[in-house]
Amino acid sequence: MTSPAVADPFAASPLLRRFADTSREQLEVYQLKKVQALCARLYAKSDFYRAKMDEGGLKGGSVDSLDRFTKAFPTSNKADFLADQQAAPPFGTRLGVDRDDVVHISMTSGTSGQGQETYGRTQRDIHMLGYLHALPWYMGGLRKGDTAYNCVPAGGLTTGGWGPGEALRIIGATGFHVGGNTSTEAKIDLMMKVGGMNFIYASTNYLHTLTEALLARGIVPREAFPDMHGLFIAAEGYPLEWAAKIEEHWGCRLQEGYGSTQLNGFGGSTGSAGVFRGDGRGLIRLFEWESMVEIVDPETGLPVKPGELGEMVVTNLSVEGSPVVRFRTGDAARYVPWQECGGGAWNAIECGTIGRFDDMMKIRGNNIWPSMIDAAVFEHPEVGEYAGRVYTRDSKTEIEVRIAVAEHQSGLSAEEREKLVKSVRAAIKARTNVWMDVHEVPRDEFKGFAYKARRWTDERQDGYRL
Amino acid sequence: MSQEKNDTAILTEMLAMADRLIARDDALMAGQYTHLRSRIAALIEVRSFADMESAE
Repeated sequence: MTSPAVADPFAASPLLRRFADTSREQLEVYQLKKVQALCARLYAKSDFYRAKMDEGGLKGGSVDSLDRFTKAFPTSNKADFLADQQAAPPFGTRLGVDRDDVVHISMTSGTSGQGQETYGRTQRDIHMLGYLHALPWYMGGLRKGDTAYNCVPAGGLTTGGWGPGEALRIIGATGFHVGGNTSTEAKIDLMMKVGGMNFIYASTNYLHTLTEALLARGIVPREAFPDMHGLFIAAEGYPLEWAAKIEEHWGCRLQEGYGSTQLNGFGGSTGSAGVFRGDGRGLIRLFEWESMVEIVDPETGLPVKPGELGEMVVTNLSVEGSPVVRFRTGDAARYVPWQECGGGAWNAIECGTIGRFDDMMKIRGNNIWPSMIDAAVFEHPEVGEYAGRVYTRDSKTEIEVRIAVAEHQSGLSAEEREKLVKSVRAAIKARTNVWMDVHEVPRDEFKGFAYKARRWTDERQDGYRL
Repeated sequence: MSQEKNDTAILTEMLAMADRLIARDDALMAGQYTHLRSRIAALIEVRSFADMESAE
């Protein structure tokens, strides 16, 4: 792609250059040292993890190699954490620090429906939370003195609500936190009033919503905000066609990060390279000196091969309170080893395609992820939003996809709309091998699709109720 | 001494100074001193990967 390059972050930071110039061997020596310290601390201070280490034969919390660690330390998952919390509220027995060192409680969002994990963070963790947002944003072009427009709801229960504010203070940028209850129209009014925007942080879906709303008002983002030099998205997949349009509308490079509460911020980002690699998908390089990320086959637990899709298993190397050790995230990513990344010792995952294993839908024998349908639908720039529903009719699985034309495309004729529906249907079939029923609905039907889009409902169980 | 080493040496001294402040008996300041110490400790943590390489 030809979006303007970001100012070289490595040239401006000797420390970051050191991180980038490290060898794989040095990185793994450091990881082992951190893992050893972590295991020793948790063996002494965490009943939850001591039991895990005893179960894996790591007596006294002793770990002599990363290979032994990944083979012997049993994984944990959300259900394990919830059970631990229930037995010893509020943090469970995995806290790992003294209770009076906890200054902040973070919870996961609860969108899984299983329950919310609770994390107790120390003062140092809160700084690291900011740093683990500041690091990818710095690489993505954010600098001291910039005005950053944070569209993610600030504060609240989740880690993602607190990281951005800390990060912008650490960088020395001016934070403008407009997320949350402010409507998109009001946000645009504020953007225009304050002016001088240099950086935007938003969920993928919200950047889409914001861009569409600006265009609908006849505002061309690259003209209204000529000093914008960084767009940073997270949380959801997208088609490259959409990313290219976004870069064109804003006149600057799009970056992506992979983060979570379990990572205490971002665990990797596209750095300054953007979401394209040639004409294909770019790479999220993992910050492996802050977190170990294994990418494994969810069935066997063994590492996947290069290019394969696997589940990310995460171990914190710099978190004090409620650290995660070999935590099964349920997040699905395509693994790209460091040797195939064109330089540097950090492993990577493909950007734009991170999904959830528990979002996978088995439809007529095919494994289908919502991100596949996102890609098919949004390769059509005329589409503003969509939603899908899987249901049972006469004992048969049916799939309905409702699409809405973008507000700035409202001039489409009936014939063009009919053609669009047919094209979306064919694109979905091409990507999923399944024919789906596609029809158009008014754009208003999707108002309120703001921060994190949950576009799919699976109602197949309902069809079997008597 | 490289600039990186210098930075960490300064931070280490600052950490020791913050520890001295925390040892004071002032309930209003205690949390704030701990906050200051934690920020310094975090900066040492942020640099630690590069510092390990320098030590080798």
